[in-house]
Amino acid sequence: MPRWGMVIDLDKCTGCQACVIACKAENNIPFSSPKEARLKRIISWMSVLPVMEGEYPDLRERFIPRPCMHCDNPPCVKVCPVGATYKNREGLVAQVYTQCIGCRYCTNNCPYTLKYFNWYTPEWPKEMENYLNPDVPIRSKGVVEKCTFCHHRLQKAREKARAENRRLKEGDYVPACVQTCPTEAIYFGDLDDPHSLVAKLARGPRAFRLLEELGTEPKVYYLTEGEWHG
Amino acid sequence: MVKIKISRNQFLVLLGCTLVFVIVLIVVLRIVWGGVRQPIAFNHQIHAANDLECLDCHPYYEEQASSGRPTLETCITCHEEPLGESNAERKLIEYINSKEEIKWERLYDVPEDVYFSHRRHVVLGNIECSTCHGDIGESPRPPSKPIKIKMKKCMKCHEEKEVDNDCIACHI
Repeated sequence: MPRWGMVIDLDKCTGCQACVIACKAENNIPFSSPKEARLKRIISWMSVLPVMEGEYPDLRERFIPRPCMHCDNPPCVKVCPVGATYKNREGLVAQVYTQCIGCRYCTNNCPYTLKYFNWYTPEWPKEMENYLNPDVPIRSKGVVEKCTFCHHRLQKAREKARAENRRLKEGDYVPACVQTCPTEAIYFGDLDDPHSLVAKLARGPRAFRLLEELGTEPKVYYLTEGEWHG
Repeated sequence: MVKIKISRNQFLVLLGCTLVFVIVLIVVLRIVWGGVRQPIAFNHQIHAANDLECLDCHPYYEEQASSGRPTLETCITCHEEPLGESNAERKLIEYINSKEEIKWERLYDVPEDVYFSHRRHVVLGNIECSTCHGDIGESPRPPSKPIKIKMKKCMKCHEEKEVDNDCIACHI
């Protein structure tokens, strides 16, 4: 059984936010208005956090793209009263929208603040309605959503591999952000396969995880040279 | 003005009768008008009897998630000239002459948050169409209602066939 994980090389990330846009297009995430931004109600499954380093005039801005960390020990799952969010056998932290009652316990308990509540019924400009992804459902008002590591792509990749009578190989299944990153800063694969690139990178000396001290065991690893001051 | 005096009991009986009448009316109207009405009374039985396979008119179920509904082009393959004298065919010829696509109504609708792939079930799972669609292939008139498929049925089948019963296997 694979254990899907991601590695993001912060030294390669230019903060272009192509991953953010790709994610929004892939997963039918509606646009946000300045009003929603003010209220901190933007939905962005992949969000880039800017971090300033140094002191003027020696300033350096760095970027941390943050999808759901798909923790091995997920704090959001522990508080869900209805079992709408759970960790599946492949380590993906899933969200079942029809099960969700919108209590937002999980949103509040996520230390990375990467779960999003639907405050409004999603809307798109009329011209865009035919361009929504049919493989991803449109969430209704009142439910919580988050990055799924583009799980629907895994379904399709698996189906294709089975139709071609072969096993799923590395690269068959990658989320939209990984596919689109122009600097190829994001890697994706099976962390339990010792020969996979992500497993090798995650074991390397440049690897670290966000808020590791909390013991959430996130499956998103970051790479950077030297000490991280974020 | 004539005043009709009725007792309390009579009033209750009258009220009861009216209610029953309204309920029966609603039920009858639903049976007559409810459900899906196709633009042409397509006869599955006669097509199946003439050696047509499901795949001939629903061309995508071996390759895609959705099975597809026949386009006018598919119908023209056989019906360029009338083959019989049925009303349904006469209607079809009208569509063909006006080159207007037939707007087949969707009978089976998968809930928004469920991903269902025909290919996965038919090609990879070796499931017959009739497992979910019943004997639609033998129906002389287009059914107005689909066969109800509840999650319990899906899960039972998944259990029997020992395939993934994880929530996100279907609820993406």
